Formats: sequence, structure tokens, C-alpha cells
Amino acid sequence: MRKREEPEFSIEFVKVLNRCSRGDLKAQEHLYRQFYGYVMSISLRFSSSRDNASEIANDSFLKIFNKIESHQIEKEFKAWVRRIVINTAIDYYRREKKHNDEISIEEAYNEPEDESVLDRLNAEEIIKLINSLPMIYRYTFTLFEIEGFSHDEIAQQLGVTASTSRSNLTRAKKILRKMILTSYQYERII
Amino acid sequence: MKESFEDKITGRIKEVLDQYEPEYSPKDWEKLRKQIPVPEFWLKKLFIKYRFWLAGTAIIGVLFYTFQVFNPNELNKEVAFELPAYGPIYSLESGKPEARTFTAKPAIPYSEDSSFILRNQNQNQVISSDISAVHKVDSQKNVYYETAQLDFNYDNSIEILKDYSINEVLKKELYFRTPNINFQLIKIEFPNLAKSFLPDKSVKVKRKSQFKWPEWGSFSRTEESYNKFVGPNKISFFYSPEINHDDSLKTFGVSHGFGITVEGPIRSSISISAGLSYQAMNFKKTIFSEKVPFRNLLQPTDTTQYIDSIGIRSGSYKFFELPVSVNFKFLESTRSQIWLGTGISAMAFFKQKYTSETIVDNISEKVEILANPWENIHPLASLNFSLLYRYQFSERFFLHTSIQYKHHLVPLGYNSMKLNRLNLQVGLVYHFGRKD
Repeated sequence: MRKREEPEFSIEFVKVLNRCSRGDLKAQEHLYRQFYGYVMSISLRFSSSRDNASEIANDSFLKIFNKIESHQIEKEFKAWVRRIVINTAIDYYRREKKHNDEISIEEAYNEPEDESVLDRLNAEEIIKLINSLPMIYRYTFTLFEIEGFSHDEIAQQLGVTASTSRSNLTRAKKILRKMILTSYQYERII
Repeated sequence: MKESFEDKITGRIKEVLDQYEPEYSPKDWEKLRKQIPVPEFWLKKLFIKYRFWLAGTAIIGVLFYTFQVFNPNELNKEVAFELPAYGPIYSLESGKPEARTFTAKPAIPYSEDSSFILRNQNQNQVISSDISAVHKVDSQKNVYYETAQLDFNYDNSIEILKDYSINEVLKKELYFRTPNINFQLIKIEFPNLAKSFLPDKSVKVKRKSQFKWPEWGSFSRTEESYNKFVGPNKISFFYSPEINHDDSLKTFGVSHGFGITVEGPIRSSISISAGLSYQAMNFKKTIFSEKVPFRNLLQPTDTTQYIDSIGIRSGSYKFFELPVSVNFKFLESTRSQIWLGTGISAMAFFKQKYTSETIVDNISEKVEILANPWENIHPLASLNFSLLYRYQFSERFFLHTSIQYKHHLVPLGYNSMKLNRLNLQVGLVYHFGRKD
């Protein structure tokens, strides 16, 4: 796991943004390298697979390259990038939700809760867990718990009611709990 | 408690994900690069991939074209054109032909854009004429012929301005009207050799000096006798100083260069040209003040402040340029021509040196970029607009001057310069192949 480093907001970085706004491919590659990890980390939370995350990330970068203007340098560039990635992921959800309507929830697993299992979870495992969630739950969980959206905002973005969003969040947490404990049980059996 | 365990799961997920960033993947960049809509990218790639084939094809093309120019058609050599000899000219007064002896004597060698004088028996000048004769070959019909443009002047007024073939002049009866006299030109006979048509120094030739417009029809009409493989073709060598403005350096620069252009006709008033030029461009050191973003590391927020700084920029570039253009001759006189041209240029840098220094509170940050040769190749670099003036000072040589504005369509060089260029050219044009 790599700890996130803040990209330096240096004079050279401003020049890179300027060159990106003029369509300079080298500058775009430079920016891509610098923000790849950041954009992918957001994309992965919304995706069912790494390929899916890569698709969302690249679509986001395309929007960034198209919309980047010199005046945007004055704004919070990272926050702007984050908004673009989230919006791209939501667009992706709207396109794909027709194919992801089937959701089945089993009863919560009644395995004894062992909090130590949480400490053993690494980033890759957590990403896999989130990726395994049904699409609507994955989006609700990520938007509410990680990105800080309200249920009203989620309802507006995903085309559901606020109460459905609350319900989806509860179900998402139950499924996560179930998956963690199941994998814990599997480890114990082995 | 179940609820608190779920909250702990959420907390752990947030904690881990907040610190997680996947490693950079070059494969993902490759995927994205293919999606980035850069129109010149595939052209550039194609150009680099097939550059040797393109260079070879260009060389073969130039050789073939040159061969065609100097050897238009083997069959044409058999159709020799014999210049006619001196002979009488008849005048027509009051509608009746009356034989009078006139001689047609060109002031300068025949088949030039020349003048000749008609004299009566007493050697008095009766009429002067400009004659523009052009050798032409119709390779399909295997015919060699000439057209002559006779512009008869009398008392300094142009009376007739019409194209006649030599055959028409020789075999048919043509009437040339002047205000005071009618001539029936039955036969104009020229000496066998062009040497006989030496300038008559005793006669001061009156030449047309005013500019005239080309016929509009000549732009669209196919001129059978105008064969682009025969000419007239032009090769020009020029020196080209240039004034540039670079938006990124916010300064003017001056460059010097030289080049070569080859030009061939499409119509009598339209030509197409291609060339190669070299330019060495220097932007002198520019000092200016600007506000730059500054991140205060002691402040935990992401806010970026802007502070005053001094910027120092300079640049030095060398590049090759391949312009292709279409030119329209819109004004001409006996010796002068004015052309308008429009075209595109490809550019290839082979040296770039860009220096940027920013000083903030006596702390200097200096970046010097030395890009590799050929790092930046732009197949469609600029859109060019030119105004050309050419002055003929000998049979084959013209003075060539032009002023060109080059509007660059893409950012250039490593530091993405947005250039505007005003290019001047001074040089010599050599006409080869068929004469104009």
C-alpha cells in the first residue's frame, strides 16, 4: 500500500496545466502520472473491477484535459478533479443501472464478531469487498460514507428516493459485514 | 453490538482507502492516449513510421519531374519549328488591299515577351507591337505550335489585344485597326534564326508599363497548351528574415533563415509550389513580473496563495519547414508580377533550448530544457498567407520578394509556444522549362 502524497503546487505544475490546456500530449502524460493514483483510488470505490475503474479514470482524465483552462489553476485543482471523477462514475452508473437491477440480500450472517479481523483487512481486500457489492449499494455506500454526500444528494444523483438511499446504505453495510465475516470464517476453516 | 461493528467496518474502510493510491499503470496511459483527440497525432506517427519511404518517394518524384521538364517528349523533337523570314506587309486603306512593303522587326529576340516595329518602305515607324510568343507542346496530339499575343500600339494607344496563333498570322488575313490606318497583315515573316532579331538600338521601344488583371476565366478554364510538365517552372533561392511573437514567452523574436522553393504551373495564373527552409529563432531574455501560486506548508488547508515573482524567459530554436502553397497571379505588367499565395507548412525542430527562471524573495528557480533533436515534428504546423512580387531582370531570372503571415495551428516545441510569424523573403527565381 502506498501512502498518498500531495502533489506539489509548484510553478512547474502551473506550467504543466497551461500546456495541458493547449493540448500538449507530454504535459497531459505528466499530469496523468501525477494524478493517476488519486483518480484511480476514487474510481475503484465505484467500480466492480479494476478494468471498470480504469475506464472511469480514463473518461475522467479525458474530461479533465478537455475542460482544463488556465483560469482553473486558481481553483482547487484536486477538488475539481475529484468532482469530475465522481460525476463520471455517476454518469457510468446511469448508463449501466439497467443491467444491474437484480439484487438479492440474504440474512445477515450470524458469525461472532471479531474486531481483529478488521485490522487484518488491507486496501486490496477492501477494494475487492466494495467491488463485490451490487452496484446501487456500492454507489450509495461510497457516496455517503466516503465522499460525504447526503441522502438527498444521493437520491438526486442516482434517481432514487432519500429513504431508498438510506435503506440501500444499511443493506450495503450488512453485505459488507457478511462478506468480511464469511471470509474470516473461511480463513479459520483453512 | 452489531451496529457498532458495522460502523467499525465503515471506519476501517475509510481509514484504509484514504491512504490508498494504486501505482501508475503505463498500460492505462496507452489506452487513454489512443482516446485523446489530437488530430495531428496519427499523422505524426504515420510520418515518423514512413519517413524513409516518403523521402524516397519525394526524391523519385523530383527526379521524374525534372526529367519531364528537360525531356518533354521525344516525338516533339522531330517537329521542328522553323522561324519564318522577313517579308512584306500589306496595308488596307479604304477597304481595299494595297501592297506596301513593311518589315516586322522584333526589338529583342523573338519568342520573348518582346516588341517589334513595323516600318514602311521609307523605314518610318508605322506601328509598334508587343508580341508575347510561347512555345507549346501538345503531347497527346503530337503537335508543336505557338501562340502569339500581339498588342499593337499606335500613338501610344493599345488598339488590339488578342491572342493569335502564328499560323493564323501567317495564313489568314487579319485586320489590325488603328485610329488612323488599317493594316491587312497578310504575312509576317521572321528570320530563320533568332539571332537576326537583335534589338534595333535606333528605335526606342515603347513598352507597356501598366499592370493588368488576368482574365477571370483563366482560373477555371483548362488551357490545353499549358502543360505542367513543360513549365514554365521556377526554382527560387531566398534569404528569409522573420519577426515572431511568442505568446508563452510574451516577447518578440527575430530569426534568420534560408530556403529553396520549386514552383510549377496549373494555369497561366495559378501555380503550386513546395519548398524547404531552415530557420534559426532566438527570443532574447525577457524579464517580467507575475503572480505565481504558493503553497504554505504550515497551513493545513488546501488553499493556494499567489505571490509576486520575477520571471525571466529566453529561448533558442532551430527548425526545418516544408511549405506547400497555391499561388494566384492577380496583377502583371511586362516585367512585374504580383501573386497571392496560401498554403500550409510542416515543421520539424532539431534544436530547442528553453530557459525559465522565477525569482521569489531572492530565491531563484531555474529550469533549462534542451529537447532532443526531432522531438517535435508537426505535419500540419501553420496556415500561410503570402503576397509575392517578382521582377524580371533577365531572360531567365526574376527578383523574388514576399511577405508571409504564418498562423500556427498547433502549439510548437517542448514548451508549447503559440507563435505568430511574419516572414519576409528576398531571393532569386530561375525559370526553366518552357518560357512563360
